[in-house]
Amino acid sequence: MRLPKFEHLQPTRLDEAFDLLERHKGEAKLLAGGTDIIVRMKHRMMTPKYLVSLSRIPDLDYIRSDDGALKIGAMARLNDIGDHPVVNKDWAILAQAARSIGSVQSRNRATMAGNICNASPSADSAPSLIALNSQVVLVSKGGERILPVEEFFKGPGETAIKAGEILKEIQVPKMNPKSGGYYLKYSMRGAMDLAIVGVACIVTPNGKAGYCEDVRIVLGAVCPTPLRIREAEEALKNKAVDEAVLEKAARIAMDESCPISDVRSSAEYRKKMVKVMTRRAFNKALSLAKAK
Amino acid sequence: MDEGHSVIGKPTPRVDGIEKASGKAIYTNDLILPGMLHGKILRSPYPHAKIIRIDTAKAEKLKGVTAIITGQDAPKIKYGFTMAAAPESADQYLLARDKVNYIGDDVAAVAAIEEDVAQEALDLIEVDYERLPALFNIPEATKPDAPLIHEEYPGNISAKSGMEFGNVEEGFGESDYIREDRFVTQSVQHCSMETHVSVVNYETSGKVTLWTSTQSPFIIKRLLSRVLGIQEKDVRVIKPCIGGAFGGKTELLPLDVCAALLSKKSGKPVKIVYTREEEFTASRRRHPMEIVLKIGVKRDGRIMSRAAKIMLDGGAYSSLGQPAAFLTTLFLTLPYRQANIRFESYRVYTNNSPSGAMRGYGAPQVQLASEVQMDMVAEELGMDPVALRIRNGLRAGETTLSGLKMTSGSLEECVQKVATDSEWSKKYKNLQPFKGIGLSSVGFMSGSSLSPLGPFTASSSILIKANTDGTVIIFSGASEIGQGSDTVLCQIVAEELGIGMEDIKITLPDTDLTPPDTISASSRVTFMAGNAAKRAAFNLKQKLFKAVAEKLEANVNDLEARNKRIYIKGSPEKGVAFAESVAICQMSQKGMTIIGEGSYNPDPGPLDIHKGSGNYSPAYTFGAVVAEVEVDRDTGKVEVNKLSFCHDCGRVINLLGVEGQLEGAVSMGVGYAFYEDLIVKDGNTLNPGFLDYKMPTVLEIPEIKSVIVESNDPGGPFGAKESGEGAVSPVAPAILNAIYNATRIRLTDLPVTPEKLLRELEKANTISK
Repeated sequence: MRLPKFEHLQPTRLDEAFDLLERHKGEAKLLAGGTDIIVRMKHRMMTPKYLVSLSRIPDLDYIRSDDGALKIGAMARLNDIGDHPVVNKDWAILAQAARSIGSVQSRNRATMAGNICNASPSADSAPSLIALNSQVVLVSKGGERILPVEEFFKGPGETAIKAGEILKEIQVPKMNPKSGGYYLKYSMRGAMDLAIVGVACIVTPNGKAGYCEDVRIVLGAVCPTPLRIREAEEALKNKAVDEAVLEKAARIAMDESCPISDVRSSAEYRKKMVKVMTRRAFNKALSLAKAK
Repeated sequence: MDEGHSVIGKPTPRVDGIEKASGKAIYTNDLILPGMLHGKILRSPYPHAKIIRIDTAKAEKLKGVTAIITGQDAPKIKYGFTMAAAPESADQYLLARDKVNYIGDDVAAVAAIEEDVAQEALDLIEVDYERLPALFNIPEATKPDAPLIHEEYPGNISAKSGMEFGNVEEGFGESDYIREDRFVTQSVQHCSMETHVSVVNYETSGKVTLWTSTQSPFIIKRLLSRVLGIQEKDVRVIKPCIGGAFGGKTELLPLDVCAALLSKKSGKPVKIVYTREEEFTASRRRHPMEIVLKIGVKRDGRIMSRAAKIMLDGGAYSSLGQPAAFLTTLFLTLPYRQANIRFESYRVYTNNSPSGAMRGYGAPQVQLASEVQMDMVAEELGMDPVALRIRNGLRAGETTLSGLKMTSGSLEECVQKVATDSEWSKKYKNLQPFKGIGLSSVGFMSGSSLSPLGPFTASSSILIKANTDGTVIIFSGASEIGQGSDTVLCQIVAEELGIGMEDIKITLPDTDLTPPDTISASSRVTFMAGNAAKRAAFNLKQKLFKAVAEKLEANVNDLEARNKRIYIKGSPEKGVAFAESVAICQMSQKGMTIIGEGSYNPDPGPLDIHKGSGNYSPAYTFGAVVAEVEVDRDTGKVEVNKLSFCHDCGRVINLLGVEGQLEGAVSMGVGYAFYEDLIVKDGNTLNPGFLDYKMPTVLEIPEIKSVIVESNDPGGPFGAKESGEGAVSPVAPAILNAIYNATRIRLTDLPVTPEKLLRELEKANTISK
């Protein structure tokens, strides 16, 4: 399939980009890495008349952690995030999620901001970002607003981003040094595949053997949007977690999930895998925390 | 087994390796001719429909559109791969005329100055269809009152084949143990890296030149000249580098025909490139099959009787279906000795996309059935699967019931070696829960007497031109399709002439310039073109010897060619450089070009394809695989930890090539077992792209331990046999048998998805509770 005709606009300043978005309202899409939108355009799943590229706007491609929080610019590539030494040390779950996406080649282009703006239910970076209580900075002519990532997703392909807004930065708060986090991506293949189920789990043990003061569990690919399962988290907090407790929490996650059937998997199988992967992700996160 | 060879048996890098690895090799899609137009094909959106009206007026008005053709513009002729040998098998119009038979059927074609314009023009062509009831599977298509997809084929049977030797019922009567099982295989696609491409220049003089991604340029030439109604001399087919074929580039396909017709109409060269979606939906795929296999054995494991009924989903057209039906029965005669057999095979038309040839061509499906059933039999008899294979395995000197003559090697040696290598006896029945080990065998053909151009046309021939600088050029019509055959042919010539690989150049197949070669298929190039190359080199050498003998006043029989010299055996100093020998020879013949000629044509003896009797291949190979797996009981996912592979490829010519073939076969076999599945619903392919048609990546490929058993085939060039296709079949059944060993779950249909296995595990768990 060939690309449909479109005009490629390359602003060099954010306000110029805002103007272009306003001028071509309803006909323009933002272009970051292009690994989702270009494919969708080839398949005529979307045919914007204009692509407004962010690539020539200076200072959007950064990964900073100066003040303790992690700040990821709109044009930071997934491989740069996945290979970043500080991200790997202090936000390992996010580095791991970044590396689980697509292929080496696509990660060299794709951005994390693009991954969440595309709002695929199976977006691999979303569950970890939500589990980390991350937020996004949305800028527009009128100023900027900050929104938790958890509130960013509205449905498959739909986000809280408004016309004229650009996702400028992802902010990830500092992780509790005692916490362990793991993103478990269950897919048919070991690479270049979409998640059948994705589970991000962050566990903070409280010193008392087997007790956790905090647990966060977020599912991907099994609901229209990534889904944090607070009831399952509560079921695991501040008590001795044995097989039965974990099984119960995993079952809650399974019951909360609402997957669809498609060529990749049936809904029934996805649900079963939510249970299995929730259990495994928790155990893995706990062992990572203990290893600290 | 060196035997003093300088090139044969040595790991040899590919002659086209650097060009390909560095991206410089020129593939068909790289070709651009002056004034070239781009063609696109309009495809049917319906699985089965009458064409009421086609209106191309709007499309013709689009700026940049140069030519449009529909079925009404094309000659009213039907074609098909086997049309020369079996005219009745021609069932496909050049473009659909009255009706379409599958989603993707070729309805019209456009040539335009740009691909985008051609694509846009397709959207402007108006077609009115009247939908017809469609048939999507074998049971529907074989119902007595099913509508006919092709009027000439009652019962929607596109082809049938059968063989019966001995008395099957008596054989079952003499058996101690009988079982019958049903196996189902899915549809998969070749997934060549390069999609199909054809560039055609139809000259005003009536001469047509095709640069096309094909593995059979001489067949394309013959068939295209027929469908265009022109002489064969006016069709020239050139095969550039091609990026994989695996059987999918065997036929004359609509893109060749449409590019030719569009070029004729527009007066310009036309290129058509299939998209990946077209590869998946409108080219060819492996035949899905339903196989019912019945076996009767003695208590000691001897196979007394085997009967099979094989149903092939052929899709909408005959394609390579006639040979497919026959080969499914033939491959059930290997690799075991059987006292009585009756195999019948029916290829059924459906409104799915057409099935054709693919690596192994009928073998992976039936040998899956055969090998899984052998595992079942071994268990029922309380026999070790290794012992059961050895008890029945064919060996050199034997002739099968149908007449296949084993010339070298034995199944026993392969099974024995792979069992030792994988520590079978230590592991079988002694592994931890959910770990398993499984065995599978294979027998395959090495070359073939079959040709789509008719009986006794299966041949290879080679010309070698010697140059006075001591180099030679091989003119070969055999298609290098990525399998490494050009390297093998150069090695054979280098060895025979005593020159280096660097002294040899091999041409692209070009039907005007290179001698004919039937096809790169049926695992024939090393064996058949290899023999032709060896004979051509020998023929050239004799001419050089004659000239050198005169100069040295020596006897021709005392000469030897080695180290780029021709000299008296035992006295290397008494001789001349190879380059000089060519000059001497040329001078002695008044400046004549020094050419060596050689050919190979298998001498099969009497063949009766209707009865299945006769010896269809000049040699046969054996192989065995042991798979070691681990099953995740919670997810149903299977990890293959190791595959041990033993293949008898006769004498190894290029070790790197053979290992590459085995590793490629493992990758294809692992894909067949677990991942690859063209999901078709109501004729619609739901996963026509690599997002959801999953091939294994390197992460899914287990550790591969390949052991090569070298036999010395009396008919093979330097004793060599095939290694390309036979290796594909045993991978999936070995994995299935290992899964059984790990879980006691017996799967008989492919692919093994985690979901499917988990369902079975849960079922078994409920029962055991």
